[in-house]
Amino acid sequence: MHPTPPHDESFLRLFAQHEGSVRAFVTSLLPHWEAVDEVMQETSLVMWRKFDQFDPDRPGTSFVDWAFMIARYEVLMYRRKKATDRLVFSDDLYELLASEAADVAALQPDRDRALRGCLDKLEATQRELVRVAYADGISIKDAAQQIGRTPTGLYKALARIRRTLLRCIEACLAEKKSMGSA
Amino acid sequence: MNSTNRHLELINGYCSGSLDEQAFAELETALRGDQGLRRQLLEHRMLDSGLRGIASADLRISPSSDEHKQGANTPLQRRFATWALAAAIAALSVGFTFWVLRRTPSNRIARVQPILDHGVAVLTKVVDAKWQGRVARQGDSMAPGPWNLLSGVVELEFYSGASVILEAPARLEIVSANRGILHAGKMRAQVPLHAQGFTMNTNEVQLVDLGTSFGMQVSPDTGTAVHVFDGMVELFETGRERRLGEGYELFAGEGRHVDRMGEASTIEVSPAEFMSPAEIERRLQVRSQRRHEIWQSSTSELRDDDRLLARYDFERSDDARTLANRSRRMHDGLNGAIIGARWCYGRWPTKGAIDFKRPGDRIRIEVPGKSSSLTMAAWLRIDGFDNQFHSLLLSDGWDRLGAVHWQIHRDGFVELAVWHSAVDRTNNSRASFEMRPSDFGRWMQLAVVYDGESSTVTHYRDGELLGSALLPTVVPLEIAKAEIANWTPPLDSSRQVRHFNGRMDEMLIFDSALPANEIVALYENGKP
Repeated sequence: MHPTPPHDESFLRLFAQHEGSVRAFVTSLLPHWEAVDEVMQETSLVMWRKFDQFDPDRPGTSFVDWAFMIARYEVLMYRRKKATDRLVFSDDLYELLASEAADVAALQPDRDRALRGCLDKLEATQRELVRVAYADGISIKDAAQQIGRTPTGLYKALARIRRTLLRCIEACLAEKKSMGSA
Repeated sequence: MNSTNRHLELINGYCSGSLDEQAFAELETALRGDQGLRRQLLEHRMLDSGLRGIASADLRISPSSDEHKQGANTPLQRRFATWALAAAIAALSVGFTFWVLRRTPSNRIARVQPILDHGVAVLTKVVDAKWQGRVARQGDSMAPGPWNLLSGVVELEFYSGASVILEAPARLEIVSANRGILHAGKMRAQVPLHAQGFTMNTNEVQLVDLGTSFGMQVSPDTGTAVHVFDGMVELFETGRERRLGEGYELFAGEGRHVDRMGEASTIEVSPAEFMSPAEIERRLQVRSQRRHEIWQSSTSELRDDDRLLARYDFERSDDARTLANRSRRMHDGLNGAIIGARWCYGRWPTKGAIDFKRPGDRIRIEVPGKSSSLTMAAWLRIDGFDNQFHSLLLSDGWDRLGAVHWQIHRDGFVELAVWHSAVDRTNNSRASFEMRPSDFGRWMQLAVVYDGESSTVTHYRDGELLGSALLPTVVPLEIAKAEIANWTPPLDSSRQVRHFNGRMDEMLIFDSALPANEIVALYENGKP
């Protein structure tokens, strides 16, 4: 039962540092949170077990690339297992998305940082909406019921919030980039 | 609506899980031909991922998140737009699991769904067993299917009541609660009255037991040997329809061998060839003693470990109501006061433990000083898992800088919450914790490391990583007055039952961050 990998602190440090990116990567390829949680759990275990196979000195392989590689495989396994799930992208489209997701996910720490700032710029009611709608274990329908809106109303509100936040994040990243190059 | 807007609408619908099949197909087609749109989808989903992280951190139910926390005067409360929203948050904090269960049956993972048992037998004794293609521990239930024992000896009890000792190498196929096929190897069965009719097939015979004990040895080359030690069995040819009373009857003290060609002969009964229940019990005892000794010698090394703030080995001292601290730190408060809970035995029959059963049961301690890092490791046995919170070690009250709360939540995670601000709960680190049916009554090690230097919290179970979280804010930890296995909430707050239901027989508190290999060593040296 017990694996014998080099249980190394450096793994934990790296994992904690990049978990957000890996989670974002996995989320971008799966339709719902249960799937994301299951795959993340599997992915982190596999990484933990195989950490001794990760070679930081090999050119072109950062920890996060390595993590994405494992996550991608685990997503694939999940897709196979749940082949009959509704609303799962077909294989060809999945392949396209998977190969394009890494570049976006690698920026997740920056995006998350920007996101925190952007959330502060939202109206208080919008922030609370986010808080309720994205809390663990709540479906949008239930969230809508709780805050006394129709699901459609909540969908629309969330779409607006997403658009605002994405624009804000882009602006932050662009600003950071221009400052960095100045 | 132009196509850009339509596409955005589809992406949002996808994110919200609200697309029907037709709209989904439309989205797929659009995505295939448009890299920019794919990028938008990825960005939307990654935004979702970030938002979910932040929202769940904010809503992380701190241990004190009973009503008082969300009371009318907190700034958090005033920001709520509507009473409904406030109610949602309060419901979340007060009865998270209940609420989730009731409102969103589809949205939570298997942990809160009924736990299913597909077994027809249970593995009751295990001595150095290795199975082909599977891992099974003592207490695990065994589902129908092939169970190929590569090495070791096990005892299993069919749900019908028949108990079987299986010696490696053996290939047993479990068919039902009262039936199996022995393809190869050696077994001894004890069949009580209730399991009469217990059937074991081999290539050569069908054996129907009529309440007895027998041994059976199957070799792919030479055939099947049956030894009846007690009572009576009936043998039938394989593949032949059985009518009870028409088989070949074999009584206590009789043996029979049937070769590959179906030729039968009488053989001498020899019970000594089959491992007896007493022998497997003796082997278990020897192993248990060995493991206990390993633990004892590794524990004696801890005696001089200066990083140990408190060391509770749960061995009785002169005062039966005191849990003695056996670290080198001398502080009276570190000796625990046992309240309600009773002494019992632990991982080994000769080791002390405390049994927490009733809602009031607890051990009070006081841990002096502040530290930037902390490691807690406990050996425990969960006997019941119906409380919403299962306290491991919790500082009294809550809103005090550095207060430490370590506990398991019924909805599937273990949490270390460290108070650092009235509104921000992002420091509550969680890792998923799955309570499997076979985990009840089984000893396990849980450990958590708060590393102030690397700003991480790491959770372990049985030496394996459960999860690790990066902390936005690091504060000095100060356990101070605290309880093991229970929690004293602030005066004005709810009295929700949140004791730990089970036994504990070791608790180590270090004021430094132990590296993973030391956690693994603690597990390896302490496993029962």
